[in-house]
Amino acid sequence: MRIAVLLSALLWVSCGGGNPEIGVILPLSGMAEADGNTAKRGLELFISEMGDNLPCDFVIVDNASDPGKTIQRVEELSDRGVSLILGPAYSLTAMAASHAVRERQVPMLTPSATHPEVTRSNSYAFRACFRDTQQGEAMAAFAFEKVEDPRVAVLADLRSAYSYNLANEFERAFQQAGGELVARFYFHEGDRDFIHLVEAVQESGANLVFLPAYAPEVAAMLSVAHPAWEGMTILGADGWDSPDLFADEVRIHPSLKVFISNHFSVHENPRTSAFSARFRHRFKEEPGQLAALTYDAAMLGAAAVRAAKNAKDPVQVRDALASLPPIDGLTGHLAMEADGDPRKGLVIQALILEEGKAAKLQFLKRIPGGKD
Amino acid sequence: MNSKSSPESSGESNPNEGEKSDLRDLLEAVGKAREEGEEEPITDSGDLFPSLGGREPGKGETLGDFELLREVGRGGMGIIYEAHQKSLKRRVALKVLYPGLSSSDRAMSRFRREAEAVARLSHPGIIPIYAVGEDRGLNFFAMRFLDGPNLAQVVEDLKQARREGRAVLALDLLGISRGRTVPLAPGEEDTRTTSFELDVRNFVLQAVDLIAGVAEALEVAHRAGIIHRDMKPGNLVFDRTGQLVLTDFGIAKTEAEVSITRTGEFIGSPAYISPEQAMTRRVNVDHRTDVYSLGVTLYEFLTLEQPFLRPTLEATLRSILTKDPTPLRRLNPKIPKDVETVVLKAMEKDPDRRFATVAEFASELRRILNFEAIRVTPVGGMTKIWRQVQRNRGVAVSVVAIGLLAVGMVLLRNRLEDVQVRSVQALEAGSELDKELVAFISGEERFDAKGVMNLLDQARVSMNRGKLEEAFGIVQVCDRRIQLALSQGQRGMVKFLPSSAMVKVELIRHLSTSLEEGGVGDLLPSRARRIFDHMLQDSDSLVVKNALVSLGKFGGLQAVSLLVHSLDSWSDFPAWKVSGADLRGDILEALGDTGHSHAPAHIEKALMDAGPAIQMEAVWALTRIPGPESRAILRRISAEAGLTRAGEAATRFLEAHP
Repeated sequence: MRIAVLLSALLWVSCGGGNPEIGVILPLSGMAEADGNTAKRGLELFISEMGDNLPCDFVIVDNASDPGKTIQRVEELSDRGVSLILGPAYSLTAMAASHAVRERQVPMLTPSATHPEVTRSNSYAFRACFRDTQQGEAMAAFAFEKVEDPRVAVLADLRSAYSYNLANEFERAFQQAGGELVARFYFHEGDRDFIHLVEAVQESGANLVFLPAYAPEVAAMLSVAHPAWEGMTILGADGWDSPDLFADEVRIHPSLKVFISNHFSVHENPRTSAFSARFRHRFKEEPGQLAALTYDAAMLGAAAVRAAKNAKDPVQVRDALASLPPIDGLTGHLAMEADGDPRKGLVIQALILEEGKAAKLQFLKRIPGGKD
Repeated sequence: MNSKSSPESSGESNPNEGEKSDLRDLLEAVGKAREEGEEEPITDSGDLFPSLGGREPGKGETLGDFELLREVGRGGMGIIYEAHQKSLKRRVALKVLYPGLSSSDRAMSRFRREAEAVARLSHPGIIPIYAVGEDRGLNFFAMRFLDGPNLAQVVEDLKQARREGRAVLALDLLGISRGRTVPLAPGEEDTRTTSFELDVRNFVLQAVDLIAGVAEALEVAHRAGIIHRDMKPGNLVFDRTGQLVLTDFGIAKTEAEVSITRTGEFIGSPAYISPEQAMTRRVNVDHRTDVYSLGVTLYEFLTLEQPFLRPTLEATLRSILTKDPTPLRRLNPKIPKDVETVVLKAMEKDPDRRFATVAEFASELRRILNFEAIRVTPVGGMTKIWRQVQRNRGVAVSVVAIGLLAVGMVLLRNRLEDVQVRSVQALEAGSELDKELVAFISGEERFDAKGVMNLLDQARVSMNRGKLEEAFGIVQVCDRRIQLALSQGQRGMVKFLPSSAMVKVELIRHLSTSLEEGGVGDLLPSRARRIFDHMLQDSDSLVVKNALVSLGKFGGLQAVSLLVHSLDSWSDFPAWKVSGADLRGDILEALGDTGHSHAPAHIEKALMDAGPAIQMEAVWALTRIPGPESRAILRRISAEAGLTRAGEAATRFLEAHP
């Protein structure tokens, strides 16, 4: 067995003792449990498909989406002697982990944390995804494509560094391109009553909404967005792509026009379609972006372990990771760079609403890779 | 070296000529004061003026609108009664000038001055005056009646509680145990507080909080130009809410008056008077005398010992002039070093070395309560020795010089032992906060991840219980430890900043909700303001953003004031210095959200030398503030050639809203 899932008591089951290990930090409990399990399935699929070709074992631990627990997990994994840490998934916990891995000199590869701060000035922090600057610029440009004379209301979650930063990135690019900001509204992670906010957006005169937030809050907001937001174009971001948005109890009016930026689209190309088919076959559900990103990140991590001169030396694994040749992963062409940020593109998707709920995310186009 | 006996009796010459002169004046003054009667040992906090005879009113008598119920005490100028005001049907404290003094112009003047002085002041920590009157030759004034004990009584009770091994001292704020039998008048609201207890084992922070409140009240008096001059525990009385109220301004003077103490006349209670009051020769006694006396009061509260009280008056005064007080931590090791430093600074013999104002004193006490580093530095052992030498110049310099090295070694060893003793005691008996505070102040490198996580968990628990200030204190302890560790090279501590930031964001959210629900109107409670002020200085831009949004939502002049100050000093923000976050746009947004008429002028000022993004924020903020000033500024922006994008935005708004 190439996976060990470590609970708080750190139970360890292994058939291949002595292998280099990659520690994996995921939110397997707490508010982001659904996302964490999606990511874990992506990893499991990767491991099972690699089989005996894997150069390492994986050790999965739960951080419950908490920065403090994340630090503890990093320290535990470092004490255990892992060569690389995969994760965490979210920007806040990744920022906490980035400081800890620098202290412990163990490289970290987050599959999905997009906040610029995660890798800033840190030679031990890497990511397998784009940064929010790209995402903000891409959605600002897309806004002008979809709406003539856009007047935007920007909504941000002030408990989320990701949301706040991405909102700023979007605004900067949007206003530079000549767009008009008509309103800003704030809420907090955990809020669920959005009727007043939704109505306030309508009253602001906006014809465009930018909502860079996580799926639970997005779902609650979209549930009450009709009729106030009818006729508006609603733009979201990668944080939307989560099982929480597609849950049966989330009712969204089909007249809403919704688009998001994302890392992965099921039917973008044959590779992604095939992955999705395999994922569905094994897990009986559609893969989301986290599953695909974790799959890609695991591939990168394993490649780094393979390429390192000493696979058990985290510093050498770090050097190998920074020097990997470009890959074509499920989430696009990825060329890792020494600063920890890859050259990578993103996709734009439309949220398809059927029978009063979110049905799927449909691929519209890919924005080519580049770095800000 | 000081002579242990009176120079007159021993014949020894005092080596310090200045001090010799002071002592001579002092003893002449003592002699003249003794004309009033036999010298008495000082047994209490200094009641120097017992009744001077004449008919004193008694229970059941009426003076003007007031019916005397019982005598409750005697002050420097008169007798204090519990009385019933007939017209308003309320209980009052009635201070009646001693009958024998009513014929004294000087006494009358002073009595009247007390009433006038206090009547001008308005602060919950200062006793309010209700009425002034005269009836049948007796002069009186009425003030709020306080049922609670005075601080002198509480100090005695604390000593007793310690002797008996009790853990808690419950204060009788309603005076029931002291014979209060008068029922509430019809319509009089019973606002008894549920409880006020002092932790007998460690009431340090409670004491600091109480005295900080007194200092803040005293600041109001000083700003009105009034010096109390008789600050002492006996003049601080607990009201029903557990706050200390300043009473008995009987010898208050205004600074406009010539502040000269005259030979033969002791102003103040000896154990608490300042050295400049004790001197009796012509010296300028200004508001800093109250700083000193309040410092002595706090000293006594914390240690349950008076620093300078001696068996006789002259010995007491000599001690005030020449002796350094015993360091507080020697008497009570639970006292944190910062507290000792602040109290001793207030008690500096030289007024120029004390806090310049009681407000500064209060500010340092509040910093301690908020677990912030104090601004004053302790007087080092060498400085103490030097000052002692200065006060005793006649001592052979060579002896001192030889002794310095040995003394330095002793001091160092004492300090190390002191730290260990203190830390062990704090660890054994103190709360988590006590332990952290001691560890921080003593600069010990005691910091671990579990400790940080525990603190942050505690903060969350406090928040969920509605104890926001407690949560704030815990977060500050945590941050302070992180910063201290960082300054000592432990760079890994930055990993805790995101966790701390999240707790602070939650705290701001709770605070905002609490303010909205509390309905405080336009007034930002001072404690909330302090929290906001602190959050604005955070290095995490999300924390600052949350604080700004809350301030913008709250609105009001105080919020505008904080925001304007932030705008003026944005480049000093840690968020800018640490992470390069330019928060001017967020500050402008918050100013716009306030909708306050004071905001536009400051917003316009921010436009100067700002880039296009900030200019746009400024325009956007102005569009949300109603009123002619905003529109006028928008017109100016619209017409300004150099503000292209902002100008266009302003023009669009003006056209859309003619």
